[in-house]
Amino acid sequence: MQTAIGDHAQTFITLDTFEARLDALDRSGIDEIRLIGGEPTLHPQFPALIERARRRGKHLVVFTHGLISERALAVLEAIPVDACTILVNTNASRHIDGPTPDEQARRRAVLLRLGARALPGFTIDTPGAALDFLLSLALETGCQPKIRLGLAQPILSGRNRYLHPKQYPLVGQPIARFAQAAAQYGITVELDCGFVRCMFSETELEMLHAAGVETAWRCSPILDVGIDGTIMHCFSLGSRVVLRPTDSATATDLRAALADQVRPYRAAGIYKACSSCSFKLTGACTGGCLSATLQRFRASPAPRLVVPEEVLGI
Amino acid sequence: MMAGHARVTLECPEHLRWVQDATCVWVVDARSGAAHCLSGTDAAVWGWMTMAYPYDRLVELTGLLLNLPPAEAEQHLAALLQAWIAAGLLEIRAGAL
Repeated sequence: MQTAIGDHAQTFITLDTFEARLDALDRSGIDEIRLIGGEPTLHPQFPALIERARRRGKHLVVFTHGLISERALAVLEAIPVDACTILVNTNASRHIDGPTPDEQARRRAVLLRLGARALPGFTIDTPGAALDFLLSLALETGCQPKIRLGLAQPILSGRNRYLHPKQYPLVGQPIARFAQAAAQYGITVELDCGFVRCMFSETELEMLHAAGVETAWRCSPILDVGIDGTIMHCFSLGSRVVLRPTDSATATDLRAALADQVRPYRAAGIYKACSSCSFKLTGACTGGCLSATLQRFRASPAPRLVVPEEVLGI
Repeated sequence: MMAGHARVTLECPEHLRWVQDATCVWVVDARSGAAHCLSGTDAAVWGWMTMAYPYDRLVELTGLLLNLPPAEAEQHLAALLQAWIAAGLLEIRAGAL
């Protein structure tokens, strides 16, 4: 379950609502709170939010672009290493062409300060994405010896830059090679949701496993909770697959309800071949990101036919 | 054939979404959550209808696909359309639009 504490419209969660989110986590027996945004560190009461989550004994996971203010950085630095994970998206940028040298320098400085609290991540949105800089970043900043790789997925109700599923096979080999290189430095690559089995050849799959990469070809409800309490399947599906909050539902209930909403679409996958693929039929692969799958479904051209009435027995 | 008689228009309800897969066409009813897998001739007919082929052409193609004479092809097509109407995949709009 991930809690939005701010959004792109600069609307922020109140402390009372945040307490209610913590109550919901307690009810579900979840001892971790994941803070998402927008950019969570921009919340005006960020220190108070962290303090309240810590008081409840929650392990904190903060998803950030890493261009953090001194005030928020000081708050994060004060958290014990084993009580938090700060996931730093290393290719977030205010600029359409990607991070500037200034942004990367600031991010490196932030990672150095956060040390083992930080876990760098990179979202692949183009087949030519350069990953090697992540190794030096991880080695030089003392962050966790892990690198989280994600595939940029289409946001169903919006427009964003994403990696088209047809491009997936083009990034399979670079990812396998990167994981192999990372393993030589004791760094493990973690794969986010939406990866599919068939984007890797058998050789590349062996390389991943030899490098200690856990492969799970999954897409399932993450439970992103918006500021207004709306519970979303995940960021990519946004407002298209949602639940209204209740006072009694647990995370397990909510996941089941969201899974029910999307079940009919799960028959298909991101490729035409997914629904007849043995990996999907056996449950080894979910067929990729549901948002990418839903993009394949269409309402038009709608079947239409003019028929003699007699055909229908009218 | 029954050309020249009174006609009605069959259309796909707005809450249906469909996708062409390698071996079938998936049609999902966003309201009820029902998913239908159309394969073989059914998938072919669905595809022809999305291309707005006329009824006589569908009868002809169905006959070619199933190696049936026109009358039997028309019967087969009629049964299929009636089944789709019953399943909510098509709805009858008054008159030929």
